[in-house]
Amino acid sequence: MPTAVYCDLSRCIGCRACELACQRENKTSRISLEVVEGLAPVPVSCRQCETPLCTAPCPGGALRYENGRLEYDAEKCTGCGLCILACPFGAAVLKGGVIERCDFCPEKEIPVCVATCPTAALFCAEAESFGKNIRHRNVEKMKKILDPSIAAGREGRR
Amino acid sequence: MNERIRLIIADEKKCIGCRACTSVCPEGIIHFSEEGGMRNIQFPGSCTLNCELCALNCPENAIMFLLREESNIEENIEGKLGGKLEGEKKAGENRVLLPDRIISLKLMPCRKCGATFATLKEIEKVRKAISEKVPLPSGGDFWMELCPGCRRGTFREKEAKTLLMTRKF
Repeated sequence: MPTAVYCDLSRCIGCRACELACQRENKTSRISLEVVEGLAPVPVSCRQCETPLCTAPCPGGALRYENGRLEYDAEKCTGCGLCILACPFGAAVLKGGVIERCDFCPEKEIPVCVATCPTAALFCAEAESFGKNIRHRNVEKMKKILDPSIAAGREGRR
Repeated sequence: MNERIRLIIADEKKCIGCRACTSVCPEGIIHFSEEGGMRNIQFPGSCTLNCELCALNCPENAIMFLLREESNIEENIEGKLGGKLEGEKKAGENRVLLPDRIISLKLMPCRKCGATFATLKEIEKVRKAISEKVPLPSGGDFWMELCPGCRRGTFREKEAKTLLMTRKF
């Protein structure tokens, strides 16, 4: 499964630090955060799809899927913007004839958005492990609710 | 007089209006504008630069060049375009340069916000490319009718709703 920048929505406070950090690193923000009214702030960046649709209409082969990840070659890019129309998430932006999409900040050890996130809501992981994390956390919560001994312990602490 | 003056010939039938030529032209002599639900791409009649970037970058190979000194230009153009230069032919025998050519393409409005975001031909091309790569059921590529901003919005709403589901625990 591909690696991507994911967000734990229950932690995100919508401070837009990720947007600013990305803008400083890449000149254009490749992550965009908006608040879904009444629910939560949600950042959106490239999902690094395993079957990327953005590569389908690319005429010059600038965007391609290689070695289990999406590669982008700015030299070959014609700037036609067809990939942007193909992306189901609207996660890519065309600026100055070049596609701006998340490439994990290749010069940094971890993407700057992940490094800067004050609540550690953003994380860079494989989709599989991410699913496991959430499941594990929910299982822990369930255990706490269902297991009387843990519940008793909690009451005792009070 | 510059002997390297060439005529830029853009094929109206092939052009999908993606603006690759406008963004790649080093002198910026290919313009585009959007108004009244149409995208207009304005090609100059001729180009004195020694480059073919616009033709090389065109995803549809819709741009050709002809040297001015090539004999019977009009016949050449008509041969290549299938006889679609009536208006310009009237300019007379002494005509050296073609007038600017404007290609107008219809824009598609976003189903959600109504803002125009791409030409119908672009959408058609992308749809075809996607269906060749991943066979989707009919209506499976619903996002093609949304502008990139609204696509992000739809994805956001979906993500935010999953949060509600996990909160139930």
